Amino acid sequence: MSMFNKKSTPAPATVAPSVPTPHSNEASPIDVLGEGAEPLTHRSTEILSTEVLGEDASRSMALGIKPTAKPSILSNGFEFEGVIKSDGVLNISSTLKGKVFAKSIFLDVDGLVEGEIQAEVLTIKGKIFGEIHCQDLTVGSRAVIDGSCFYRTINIQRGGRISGKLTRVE
Amino acid sequence: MRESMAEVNQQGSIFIGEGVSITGSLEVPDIISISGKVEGSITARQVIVEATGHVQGKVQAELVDVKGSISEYLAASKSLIIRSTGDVKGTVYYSEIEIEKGGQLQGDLYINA
Repeated sequence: MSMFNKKSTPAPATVAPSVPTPHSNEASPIDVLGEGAEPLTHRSTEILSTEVLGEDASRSMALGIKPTAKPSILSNGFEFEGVIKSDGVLNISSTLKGKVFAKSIFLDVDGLVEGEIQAEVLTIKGKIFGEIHCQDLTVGSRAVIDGSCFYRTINIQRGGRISGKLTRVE
Repeated sequence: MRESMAEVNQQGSIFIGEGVSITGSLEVPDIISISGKVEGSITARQVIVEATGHVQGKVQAELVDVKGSISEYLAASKSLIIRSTGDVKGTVYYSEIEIEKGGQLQGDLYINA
């Protein structure tokens, strides 16, 4: 507490009287951050773009999904059998058996899908055994794919292993 | 890649220029660079198909670099690179593959054991 107060006292006089927030007496972390800067609310809309939300957001914005929509994350150790459907972004590090449908799927290094996977944008760093339907397919260097693959554009990084039938669709 | 052909030595290599078309079987100890059209079978250490190059038939090599097109059969025992303008169709055997965005690959893929 006292540490915050010390910090704010040497600052120019504008700090204290300008924003009389209810917490102005208690030095909150916001006060420290906002020292000499404009209030956070003014910047929040810009911040919502890619820099804070990261790659997923820029990817989802390109797809026309609300940038605020967070990806669904299936983490390491999770196992699932059945059908998964999503209108947004799916990050998979888990083991799935069955069918997966989403607008954008990111299969991480630990991810494993057995069955069918369908997405507009598909990035694979893990393993897939089964059928793939997508528009843009990116295969990472540690990926393993075995099965039929239907795609519009494909990009394989050196080292990616893909076997099976490849078919380009319009 | 074409420089490497000239600067190392041209022994065991062949360059097929744009507009040239060849039918038959080619056994090339080192590099074959194709800007023209080849129908038949090619065995070489390295096959480079330039953007204007087309190969129809059987291609066997250690290293294959495709900016043009190859159709029917392709076996690359070490590495296969399909550049953004490249187009490969048919049965493909490889041990290491890279496809640049825009590159096309269709057919049956097998990984060399």
